[in-house]
Amino acid sequence: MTTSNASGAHSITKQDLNKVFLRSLTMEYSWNYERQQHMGYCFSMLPIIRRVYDKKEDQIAATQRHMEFFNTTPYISTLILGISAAMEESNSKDADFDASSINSVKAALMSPLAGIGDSLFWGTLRVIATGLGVSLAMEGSILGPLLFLIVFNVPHYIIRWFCLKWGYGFGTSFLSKIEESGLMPKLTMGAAVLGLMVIGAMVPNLVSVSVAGSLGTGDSAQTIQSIIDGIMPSLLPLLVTLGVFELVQHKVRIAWILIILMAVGIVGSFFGIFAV
Amino acid sequence: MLIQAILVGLVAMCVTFEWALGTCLASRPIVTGVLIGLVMGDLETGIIVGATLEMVFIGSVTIGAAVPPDVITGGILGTAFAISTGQGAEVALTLAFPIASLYLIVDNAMTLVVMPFFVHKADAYVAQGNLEGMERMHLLGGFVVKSLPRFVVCSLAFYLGTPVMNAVLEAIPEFVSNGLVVAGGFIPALGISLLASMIINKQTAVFFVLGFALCAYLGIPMLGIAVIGACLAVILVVVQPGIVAQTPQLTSEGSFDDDDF
Repeated sequence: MTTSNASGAHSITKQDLNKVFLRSLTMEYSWNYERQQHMGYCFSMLPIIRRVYDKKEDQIAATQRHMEFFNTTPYISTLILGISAAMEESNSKDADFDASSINSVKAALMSPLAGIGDSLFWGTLRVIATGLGVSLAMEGSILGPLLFLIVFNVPHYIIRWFCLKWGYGFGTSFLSKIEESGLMPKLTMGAAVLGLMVIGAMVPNLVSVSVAGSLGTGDSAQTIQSIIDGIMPSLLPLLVTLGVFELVQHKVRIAWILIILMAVGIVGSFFGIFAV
Repeated sequence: MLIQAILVGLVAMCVTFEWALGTCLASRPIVTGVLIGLVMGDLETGIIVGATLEMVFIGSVTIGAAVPPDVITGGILGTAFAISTGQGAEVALTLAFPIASLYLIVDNAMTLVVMPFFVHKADAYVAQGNLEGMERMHLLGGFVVKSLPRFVVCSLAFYLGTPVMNAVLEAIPEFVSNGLVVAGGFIPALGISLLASMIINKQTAVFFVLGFALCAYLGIPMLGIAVIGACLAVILVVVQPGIVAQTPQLTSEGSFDDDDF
């Protein structure tokens, strides 16, 4: 569709994007603590992966890429899906493409977009829809619930579709320019810088660990958590993340890491170490 | 009574499909009120109670307990009890509240214990090249973890009534339910680590620390972090390309050194 040496069969079609749109609706169905919306994201990317890669090993590598952590406001997840689709398409056609930049871009976009999307959809649109719906429903009118669903979902589905279109269109035009000018290594580096800063900021935002208990008595009593916060805010979430990162680097099986984390949570709660 | 209980459970199960239909808010009390009203044969009361419960659940709701109850089971059982007992929404909510709290424990346990099975099975399928297997795990995992338990718990709760469910709730030791909440706070660290390990190297690790420090110390929201990150990326790769090779030296001038341990 866009690159010059494209063989038609491997270019993303409108039907593929339609499939991505429909599949993106399931984004939150298999939400989990470990990688959150990752299966929904991967599920949405599969029509693209099947389209652009012929060889089984390429398909597997791409699928594994999209089985990594993902979380954003589901309504605008399609913007990132569109960009990922464009990047996978480039990756399949350009041997010099650095595939790790695909996940760097995802990481860089997911949390900032969640910030915008959450306040737009949860904070604004949902509140307007609820206000309109409840006032009618309180009188026993079925128009209330209907209005609630319509006011929220008509903009939602329209925005979801256009985000996919924009994401893919922006991704392809941007990438073809970058490829022509040979800036790909720089883009990879820039995406890693941005992605890692966002991932670093996810630690205080997404990981929560706090301890119970206090030292001293009476007015001089200080909670242990406030002492730790005095050393460094979000110190415990950082330590937990670094600890888990070490385990991941040492190829400890993910199932074991999960069991360790759950055991620490439950045993710690038994001894009253953690505050809920 | 039995048929009504099954229908209440079916409503609870079907509205969870909203997560497979774009998170379209079909499981909010204002919508479930209509469905329960239809099932119980009193549409108008269903709509009114649903709207009342919607207002109860709109913000962060903590009615006397440490953790907010599950909105879906709370809304559905609240409406169902309101119609079956003929009492108002507030009374109905106090009846539904124990079950909605109990469901929070069920939901945490299902997400923490059962969902990883599907996640890792999906990983294994992908490694074997069985992409259809991954697709199945995604949909089946959602159904088993989110939809099915709501059918079981809502049917059972409506059939048995509140006293029995209250006894079940009290039989669960507090450290187990708290422990699941605590573990839920830890586990995102695993997803973050897996994601970071795909991107990070010695040269770029400092940016992870920088992002953390900007957020933890200055409380800069994500969008702000992204703007700063984008500026840094442009400075490093466009404005001052030569600096990229010497990136780690940046820290010796900055104040983030003390975070690097």
